This record gives sequence, structure tokens and C-alpha cells, in this order.
Amino acid sequence: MLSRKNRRRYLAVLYEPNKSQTQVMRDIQGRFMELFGCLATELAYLRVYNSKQNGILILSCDLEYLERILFTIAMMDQSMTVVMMSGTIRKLRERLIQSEIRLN
Amino acid sequence: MARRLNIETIGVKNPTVVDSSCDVVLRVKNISPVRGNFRQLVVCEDISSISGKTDLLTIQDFSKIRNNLSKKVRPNLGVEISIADARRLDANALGRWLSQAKNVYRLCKSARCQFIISSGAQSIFGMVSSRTF
Repeated sequence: MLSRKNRRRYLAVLYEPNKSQTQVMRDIQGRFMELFGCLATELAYLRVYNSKQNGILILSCDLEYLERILFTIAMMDQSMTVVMMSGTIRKLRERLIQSEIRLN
Repeated sequence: MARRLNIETIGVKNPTVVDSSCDVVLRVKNISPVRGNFRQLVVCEDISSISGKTDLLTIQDFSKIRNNLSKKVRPNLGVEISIADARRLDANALGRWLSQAKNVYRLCKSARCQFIISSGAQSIFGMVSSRTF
């Protein structure tokens, strides 16, 4: 059988910088599990990446679970929002730097 | 920040707290001529006090409006629900909230009202990405 790599999406999440990235990620995972269950949490394959911007968390998930992740982030008790989305992490990082320059 | 999220217009209660780079709509309880050049929306939170001048009905508690809403809605009225209210709910209550929001949406569609999902954000972190819903 032909094995295909799952397509992923990379999200830049803006959060209040009084919490650590690890804590924010744990909170998102916890809320996702509460809303959609353990199986979906595993299949969504949530991963976190370093970001140079303060208060921005880069999160990746399986494309199939993208809408659920967006919903979870919108329904987090701690306020946070998705500011950018991309199919590759390199592109996302480039766009984050560009938007930072444009807005400053 | 609003520009980054592709938000063109922001609704506020107090116009002094936002910068002038964004289009601003004032959310007021009564239309007043002394509020500068801003456009105004008359917002009502209590279903029993809806008048002909009301532009927006904000729903905070679905249980209070269950029976009254179908009688009170009229075409061109905006019915608004806030995501900020749903953020604090647990999974069970959130499921109920969604189902009730869906019912309100169906009612709005049949009554030719505008259904509005508002972020209810108090800060930039509370805004909601446009792809979410």
C-alpha cells in the first residue's frame, strides 16, 4: 500500500507572555483532550516549535485536525489567538519576521 | 494588531482606548449626538427592553431568552453571542452552548436577522482568528 506523509499546518499563536511556552502548550493539549478526547489528541499530533518572537508560540498539527485546533484555541480559558498559519515552518517564520518589521 | 488579524472595524464602548488606525463603531445604549464622528450601534442586553431603535441584541444567557426570542426578533435586528462567555465553560457546558447557538442561528435565518459571533475581547489576546468559525 502506498504510504503518504500526512499534511501538516503550522500556526503562530499569540499568548499573554506571563506564562511559559511549555505551560501554554500543556493547556492547549489539555483543553483539546477535554473537548475531543484522547484519540483525537494523539492523531492531531500536536507539536511545539521555538519562536524568536516574544509571546508567540509556533504550533503544528495534522491538517485533518486543523479546524478542531482552531476551535480549541478560541475556546481556551486563557486568552490567546492564532495570528498566522502556513504549510511550512520556514514560510511561517519568514512571514512572522516580515509582519513584525511592517508593524513596528 | 487588528490589521494583522484582518479586522477592519472594531466595536468599542469607549472610543479613547483605541488607536485611530482602525475604523471604530461605538456600542451605546442610547443614541447620543455628543459622541463625535463615530458611527453608533444601539446595543441591548435585556430582551424585554428591545425597542425599534435597537440594532443589536446581545445574548449572555440562553436560558433567559429561550421562549421570548422568537416573539421579539424582527428583520434587520442583529443577534450577537460572545465567545468570551464560552471560554470559561467546561466541555459539557460548551457543547450545550454550541447547540443553543445553533438554534439561535436557525431562528435568525428564518426571521431574516443577522447572527453575529463576537469575540467579546477585552485585549488583543482575546481576539479570535477569522478561520475558526
